[in-house]
Amino acid sequence: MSLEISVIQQSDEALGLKLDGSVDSDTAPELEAMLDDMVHPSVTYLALNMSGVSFISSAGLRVVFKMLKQMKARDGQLMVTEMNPGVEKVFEVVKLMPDLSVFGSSEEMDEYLTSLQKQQNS
Amino acid sequence: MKLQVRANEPVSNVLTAVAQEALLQGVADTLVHDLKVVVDEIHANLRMHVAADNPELNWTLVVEVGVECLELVVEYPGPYFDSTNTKPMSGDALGSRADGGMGLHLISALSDEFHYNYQDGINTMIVRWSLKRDSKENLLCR
Repeated sequence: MSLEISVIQQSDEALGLKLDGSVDSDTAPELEAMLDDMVHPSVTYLALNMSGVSFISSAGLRVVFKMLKQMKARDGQLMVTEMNPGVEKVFEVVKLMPDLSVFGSSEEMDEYLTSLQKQQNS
Repeated sequence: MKLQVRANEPVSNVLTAVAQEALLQGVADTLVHDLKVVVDEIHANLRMHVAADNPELNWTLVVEVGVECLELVVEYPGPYFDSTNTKPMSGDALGSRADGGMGLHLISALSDEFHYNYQDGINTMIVRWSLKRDSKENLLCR
């Protein structure tokens, strides 16, 4: 199964992507290359909608881990939404969950981002 | 089910074949997911570490559903390499945490048994999952 990556939000500070398919050892390099290209130094909020991800292995987790470190180094956040139970279990096994901002739905995450934006503008 | 896998085989082909077989045999979706993760880890590991110097390498992958157990057996020729004998993944804070060993950590954590044998120049990895709800010991796979 291939991986499709679509941009759902893009600004100077924030990038939102929707992933569909399988993040395995063949497709993870595609995701990494796209993120390396799109996560500019000004990006401090990276959101990954995982509702279409059926499967992730350590190759995909390494990409998430790399992005998480980048965001933390910038005082930013890596946000993840709508993981299926299998994918969530894999994140839990490698102890990534406590470092992520996890949302049950993209609406929930949008609300959070809007409130952050308001705080920054006030 | 027995598959001969070439080192340059796209992993998606292997994952699809393994998942279809397991589902056909009545294995639950959650276990099929874990099986796929383990197959991807082993495939990536063999491709990166074993087939790097030998791109013609093939390995054999067998999936069996027994009375109490789902079993994955992977065999390949080459020098002794016990991948079960690795350091556990670091549980340090994010800044100092290394991601090495993550794949093998996943194999151990997502399965009930993970064994290694070496005989006559053949490396064998055996991964098992219990199909019994009440016990994960002494799994009867055949």
